[in-house]
Amino acid sequence: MMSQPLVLGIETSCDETAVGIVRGRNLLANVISSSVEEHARFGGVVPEIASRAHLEAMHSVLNRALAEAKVSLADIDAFGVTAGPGLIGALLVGVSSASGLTLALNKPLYGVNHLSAHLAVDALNSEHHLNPAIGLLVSGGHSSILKVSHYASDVKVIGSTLDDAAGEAFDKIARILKLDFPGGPAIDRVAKEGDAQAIDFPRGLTSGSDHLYDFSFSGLKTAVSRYLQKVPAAKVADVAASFQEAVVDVLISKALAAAKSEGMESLVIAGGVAANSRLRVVAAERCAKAGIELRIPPMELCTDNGAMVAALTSLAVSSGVHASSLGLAAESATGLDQVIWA
Amino acid sequence: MPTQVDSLEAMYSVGFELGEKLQRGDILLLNGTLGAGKTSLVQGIAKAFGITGVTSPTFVISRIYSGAIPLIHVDAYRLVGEPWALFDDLDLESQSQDSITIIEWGDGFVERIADEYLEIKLEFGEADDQRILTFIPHGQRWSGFTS
Amino acid sequence: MSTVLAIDTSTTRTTVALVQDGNVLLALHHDDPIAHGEILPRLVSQLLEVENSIDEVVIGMGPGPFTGLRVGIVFGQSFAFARNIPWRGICSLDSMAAQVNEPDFIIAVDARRKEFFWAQYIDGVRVTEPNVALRQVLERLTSPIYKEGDLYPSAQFMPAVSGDVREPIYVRRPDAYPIPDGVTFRPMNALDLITAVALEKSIYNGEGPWSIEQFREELAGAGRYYLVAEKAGVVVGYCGAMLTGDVTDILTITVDEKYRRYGIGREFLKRLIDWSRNKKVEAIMLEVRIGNDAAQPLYTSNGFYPLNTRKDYYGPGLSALVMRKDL
Repeated sequence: MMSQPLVLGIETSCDETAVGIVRGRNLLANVISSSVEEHARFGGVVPEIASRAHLEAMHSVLNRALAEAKVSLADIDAFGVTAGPGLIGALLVGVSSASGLTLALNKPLYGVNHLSAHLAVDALNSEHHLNPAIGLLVSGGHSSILKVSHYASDVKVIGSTLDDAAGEAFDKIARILKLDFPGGPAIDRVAKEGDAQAIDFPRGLTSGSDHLYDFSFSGLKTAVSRYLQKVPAAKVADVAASFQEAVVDVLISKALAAAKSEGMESLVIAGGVAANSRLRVVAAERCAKAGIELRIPPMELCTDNGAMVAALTSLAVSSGVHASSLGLAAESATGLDQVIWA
Repeated sequence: MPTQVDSLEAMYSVGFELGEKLQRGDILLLNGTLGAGKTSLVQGIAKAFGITGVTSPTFVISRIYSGAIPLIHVDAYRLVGEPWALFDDLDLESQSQDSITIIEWGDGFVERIADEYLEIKLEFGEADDQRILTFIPHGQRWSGFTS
Repeated sequence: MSTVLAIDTSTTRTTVALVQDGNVLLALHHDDPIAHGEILPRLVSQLLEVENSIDEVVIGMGPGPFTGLRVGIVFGQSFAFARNIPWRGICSLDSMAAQVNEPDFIIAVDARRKEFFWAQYIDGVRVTEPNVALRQVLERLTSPIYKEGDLYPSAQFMPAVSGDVREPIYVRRPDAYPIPDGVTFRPMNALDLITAVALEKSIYNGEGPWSIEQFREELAGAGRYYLVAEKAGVVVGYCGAMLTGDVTDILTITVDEKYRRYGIGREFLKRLIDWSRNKKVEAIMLEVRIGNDAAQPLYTSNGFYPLNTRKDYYGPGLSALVMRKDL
């Protein structure tokens, strides 16, 4: 059982082809090749196939990561790959590549859960003690509150979204407001010029004990578009800021309520929306006030990346979790019942 | 005859009833603006196959759930206006014969994988929670399916 | 001693084999339409227990449904990458053809929606680029058709198949692409002749088939239809067709090398087909040089099928395939 394993992680669950390399809890390399760039690169030429971007990018990203970490493939102790959830075609590229690499090298392969990996990226902060915590996972595809006893083996969902994920709500509102894609960063930027208290949008599912830790952003989405129909001359910055405030407010409130009720002293926030500047400010303020330790990754580790997969795999290796069986299955829709594929 | 749906619960029921009538290989096209209730309808349908936890697939584009019959839930929102190669890349045909396939924002896309499908238009009604559903059959399989 | 690992996941069958100096050490397969990702590593692992030292990987590059096809290609390429050995791609239909002993036949693989990925083989050599066609179109051809189910790609035959395909063979329906960005199409006029001749020279290495006089005559001729494609005011391609009785003949589709893959050729063909329809002819004919890899797929995916060949049509050793599309 290694305590400082050299681990390579591959992530291809949606738009990115990403590889990260860690040694124990130290980040050595993090390389991401984005589909978005690939499409732009082709200019007027249509790529024959969208996931060819994944196919072609894979080995180039692998090489760049190995060079950045100054290690070779043969040095790697274990490999990790996102096996789900995600877009099945994209997942298969990562899983098939990882299977080919590990069979060729005779190394162990861990199929990992994309959502758990987001949480586990926290382990790369050497100042953090990995004590049990409440996790708030917020991304384009997911919004959940979790009870995290161990990143690599014990994660329970105690609340999730009933409809849209927070990140998706940002994308859709950004489209309605005619802002750039991706919507999260665009709204974050524009909101800085606006008044967050200008409009009081509904926070969704704040009453009743049936859905204490669940989220619902669909109503908020409808409220914003209704508002814009009624007030066509509304200041985009104010709408953006007020919408963002509503989302951030309900996310942090519920997360802290869960921490209190479960007797947890720490809150870990992860996922693409964790890069939102307003969320980071509000989280810091309210956690400090509540006496809760806040663990949140640096911005560049919040969105999909390979480092998080490597981090989770590294924790699994160190804690004696077995590698996945040969022929691991990519799974498009899976909850957190599997953190590491058996 | 359009169907009037007065609440979220009613939407789930309509979905569930529809789900009970579906067979392997069926393809559904859902059209409606943001908030019209497409994902809610899918949640109702999914329940008929023992599938829970269905949420909007806008970001990931497609999710495949295992159930009594597998459910392929697609949201083509991000692909609207993009080259068709991106939709074709989903390779839905690989699995749609053995599954139920539902495509939100599927106008212009569904024809690429099927000649026969059930189109459902979702519109806002007068009251806040009210929606109007119109069923439009395409092909032999769906003839007579208007409510 | 040279050991080849061969892999193909282009159909419902996952097939793998270890071939050493032409001898099959072990060949395995498993049929499942969607589980290639799980099956392939397990089969390859069994092969590696027999012989772990591999010198080359040969991979079936399609055509076939993307989901399965991707698995074999990515796995094979990554295996080769990790072992630092070469990999070679072949057309998956070729390993099916290698199992058939007939002078003239067609291999067809399910592409769903009543369509098939197919290629024709004459005297053991593939004479068409892999493409997609409706069952009815294939059945109009006189050659016997061997379909997926009658036989499958077989990894043990793959090392002997020639070819070095570096990209997946993803055959698409012709309408998968929008009109090329920033390109306008208009009828050719006399002023375009100089550019056209220059283009011919650059593409055909100094020896354009037509001189400027021949072009001028062509343009002036009756029953002719010539178009150019312009991008930012520069002519980057042209095409032409001619009406002869009950059919139209496509005479040329030429695109500047720098502007290939923009969909210009495709758009030209579409317009020539539309023009032919307006003339109410019964078919469109064209000749394409056998071995012209870029052109054939475009024609077959638009409903052209091979009719016959004209030996040495373009010169010694350069034969033409005559193709026809019924309207």
